[in-house]
Amino acid sequence: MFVHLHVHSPFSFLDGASPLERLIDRAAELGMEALALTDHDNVCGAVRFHRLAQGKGIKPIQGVEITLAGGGHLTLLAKGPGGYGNICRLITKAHLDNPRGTPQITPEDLARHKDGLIVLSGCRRGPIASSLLQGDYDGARELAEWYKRTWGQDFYLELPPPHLPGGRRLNRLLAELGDVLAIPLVAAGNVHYAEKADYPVCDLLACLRTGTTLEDVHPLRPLNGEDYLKSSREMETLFADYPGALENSCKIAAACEPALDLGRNLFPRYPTEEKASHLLRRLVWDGAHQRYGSLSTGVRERLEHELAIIEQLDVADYFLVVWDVVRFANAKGIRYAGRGSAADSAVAYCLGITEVDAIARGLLFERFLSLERAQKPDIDIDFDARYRDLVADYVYDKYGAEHVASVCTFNTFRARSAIREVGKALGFAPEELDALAKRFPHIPADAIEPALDHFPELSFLKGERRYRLLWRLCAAVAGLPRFIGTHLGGLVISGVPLVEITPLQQAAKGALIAQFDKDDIEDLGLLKLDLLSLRTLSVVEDAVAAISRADDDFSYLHIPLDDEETYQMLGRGETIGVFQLESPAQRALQARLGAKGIEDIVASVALIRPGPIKGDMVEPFIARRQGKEETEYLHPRLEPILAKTYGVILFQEQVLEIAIAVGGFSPGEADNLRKVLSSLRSQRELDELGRQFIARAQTNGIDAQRAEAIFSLIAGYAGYGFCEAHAAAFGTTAYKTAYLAAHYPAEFFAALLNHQPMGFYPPQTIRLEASRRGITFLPVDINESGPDYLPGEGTIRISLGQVKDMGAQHLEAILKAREAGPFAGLEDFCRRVRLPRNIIANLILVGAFDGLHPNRRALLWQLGRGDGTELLPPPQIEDFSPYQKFLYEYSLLGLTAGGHLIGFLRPKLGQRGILARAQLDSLPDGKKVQVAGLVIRPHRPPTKSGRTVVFLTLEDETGIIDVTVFENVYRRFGHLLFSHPALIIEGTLQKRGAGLGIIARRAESLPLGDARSPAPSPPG
Amino acid sequence: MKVRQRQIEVLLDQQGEPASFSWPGQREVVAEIIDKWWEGGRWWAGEGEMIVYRLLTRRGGLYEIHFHSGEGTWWLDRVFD
Repeated sequence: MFVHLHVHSPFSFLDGASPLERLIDRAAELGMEALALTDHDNVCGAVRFHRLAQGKGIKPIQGVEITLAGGGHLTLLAKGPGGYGNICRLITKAHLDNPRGTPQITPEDLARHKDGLIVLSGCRRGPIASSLLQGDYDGARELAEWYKRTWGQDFYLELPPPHLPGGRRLNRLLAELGDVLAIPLVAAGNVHYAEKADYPVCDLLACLRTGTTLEDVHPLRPLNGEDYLKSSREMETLFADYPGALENSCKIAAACEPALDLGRNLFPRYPTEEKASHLLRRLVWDGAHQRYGSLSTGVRERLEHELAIIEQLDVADYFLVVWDVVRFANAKGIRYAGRGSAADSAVAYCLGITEVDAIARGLLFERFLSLERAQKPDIDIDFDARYRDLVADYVYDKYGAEHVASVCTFNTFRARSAIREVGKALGFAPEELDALAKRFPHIPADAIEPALDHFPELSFLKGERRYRLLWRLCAAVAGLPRFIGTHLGGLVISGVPLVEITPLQQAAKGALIAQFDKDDIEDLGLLKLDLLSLRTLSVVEDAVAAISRADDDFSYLHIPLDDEETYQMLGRGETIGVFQLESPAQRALQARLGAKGIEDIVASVALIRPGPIKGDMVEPFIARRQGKEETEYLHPRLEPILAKTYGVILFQEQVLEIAIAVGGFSPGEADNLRKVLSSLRSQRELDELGRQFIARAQTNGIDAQRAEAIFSLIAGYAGYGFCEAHAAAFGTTAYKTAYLAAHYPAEFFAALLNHQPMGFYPPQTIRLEASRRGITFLPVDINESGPDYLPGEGTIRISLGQVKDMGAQHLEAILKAREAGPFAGLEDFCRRVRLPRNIIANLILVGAFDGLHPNRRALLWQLGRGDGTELLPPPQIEDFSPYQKFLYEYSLLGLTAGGHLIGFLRPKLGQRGILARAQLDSLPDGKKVQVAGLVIRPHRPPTKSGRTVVFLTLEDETGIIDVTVFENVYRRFGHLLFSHPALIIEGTLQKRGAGLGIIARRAESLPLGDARSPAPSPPG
Repeated sequence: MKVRQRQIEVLLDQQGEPASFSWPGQREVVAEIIDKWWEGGRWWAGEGEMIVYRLLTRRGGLYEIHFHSGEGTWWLDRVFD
């Protein structure tokens, strides 16, 4: 028998070609009783490996192939949790004591953390093997003696597979050394993939790792396909001369125990002298009195119910940690909003973590936390993006840097990244790959070939023989991790020092990250807290500050939720810039729905989601909301659950309530059902679940036929929607941003422009929308513009910060110089401010000096080729044309104070009978029209029929119009929709409610001519 | 060293290793297999795997030969003088 003790998974990052699932399935097929995982300098795969291996009855042995100072490799195996802890410490040290991306460990550190480890001398890149291959027998012996002294009987000489040049001789020398020094041998497979057929993928990954093409030679590329998971018999044949080395693999495996203990509670204890549960109770009841005043029996019972579950699950500290974080944010005036299923908790509401009254909304706590699922709570909080890191710093300070880190993410190959990287290894030109990759939607890398049939804009690639290997290899790397990254908001907080549980390493932006993602962190029993950056909150903060400067009485908190003007604006579909409601689908929905209250907004947020869309719930909801259709229920028991959403399932909580009312499920069981429904992998699984549901419904007094229909209803929804608590949290912010847009457009849109990029639309579209609302945009002015967009009375001044290449230090220099008084002209400016030439030129070209000199071209000539220290005499020269000025502004600012690219083409478009957006309002529904515009965000959302429908927005100088392209038209014109910046669309005008759109019949590219060319190069 | 890409005939021993090899006009008997390794070949161009042997012959010659597993053919790669 034999046990593989040196195995790499894809978490060796481009040095492992088979997913862990495949490796373990293969090990199970080969009848292996134990298996080690030894990735390069990390244990990123440890939790999955542990779970998967135990699921197949295989003993998981945790290990690592660590890089030594000087670049050699050493195989470390954990005998148990203690050894695993030392592996984590060593990996952490290897990463943090060295420049990022070059982990190395010194012999001294190895010796310091030697306990609980079995050490194998490593592959051919191990220090001993490497010395022997270089003919340095004495050096090899000296090293071996040191390892033996340090680890005694726990040190083994690793015999690599003899498939490489010099391999047989190397093993003879290792055996000789073992004899001389009485060091036992162990055979190892140095596995990098499950089966021999995976070798090309491993070789390809090595090319990506080394930046080579397949035709290049590189010493780190695998020479052959022998690094697969060999059977015991194959290993016995290979190492027939060393039977003891085979036996020792089993002996080592027997000495190692699974090192991970999943499901523990390693939460930090909130630092308090009082018992955590007592403190929590006190805070909750205090908060409840503040929220509700006097407490009804219902409120008391609900809070007791939640507190009892929290105490039974021993997660009181978690709530206290989160409460403390929001308390800090409150104290610092940092805007925040709890989101997600935490808003199902009345306790979270009373602690001030969320603003959703779970009791008043009748939200089920079990969607958040239940005894049956006994999962760890997971609370997400959005913060003003500018201050999120300040909050994170507070957490670091509070719990100590050794207890806090960021959660990692694993960036995996998807279609675009695979095409770019694999294509490069195949020798394609970067420009060709870039163009190719951009054509593909965001799909998995193994969906490329099916996509060629599915998407008409890709069909021209079908017959291309030269891409066949590229597609095949892209599919082979699909889903494999490329590199480790930082989770956007996730922090892990541990009750024990983190390095005992997870290695830490430095991320690109400097944060320390754990080597586990959010799911693994939860499995390890660590606390995960999502502190997210939400730019919308920054927009709100800035807009509120600007409004408050002019209006002392304004209070964001007390914005009335029944403001008629806001609902009228929503009803016209004028929602560009409004949080959650600005997508074309949402704009169209708002124009038809006619929202009249905050509940309509909450429903809207949840309605445009894959679950309700695929479940065909949008149209019935609108019709019933407007009283055009009777609300019907499949069973009377559904009425109290679905009445508030007019008989359709909009929220995840409703799935739970149906399972409880119809199937007699407990709340925890019901949430399990929801979870399973949302992660179904096959029809068979769905059928089985359906049978269980129907059987339980029948025992609950509901006939099979109706139970089946009800199950179809919840299965159609399948969990791909918002939970009501989340929708309620988002809905309130959505409404309030709508209110700001309706009543304070200058302040709101200025704030929105200050925090780009965010939302759905580019700055020019936001400018256009603000202009449509009557806001005048003032151009960049060297004496008037500030670092940010400045709202005035019905105006917004474009910021200096918007000018291309303007850095913070340049801005500061300008503003500091301006403190001494306004600039009198270009000469005065150049004398008082030292800036790179390109920035001065950009300021001239966007019109920043127009107030001081009317001729931009003349100023540019004056600047010449210099940096402004010496200006040329002013020339007599004609200024740029309005069109040229427009192009410069557009290219250097990303928006213009006035004008539009399509406006310049209007005379020609008019001759062809192509209408402007503004002309469509007066035309009747069903009218055949032609429009033209810049294409904004063409996309293909899921549809109930499964057919492809493309939605895009065209923008012209008078506004925007949404275009729907159904499959038959898409098949003919799809190749234009995703690759042309401007289009002419011919179609039928469709008026639904207050909304207006076009159903496309044909499309053609709109040649932009000069308008498409880059801005002319500045002279000089 | 000479590089000779020519096809050869190989007789194997009981372990399946080369015992002798020949080409028109010459036959060499293997005295010792000095080294043996595997090469993946240019898989992206359809090439199969090769097993490479470095051999010492009874007449004192040092040779590199390989077996092309995809084609089932043996080739003489190098002769070391």
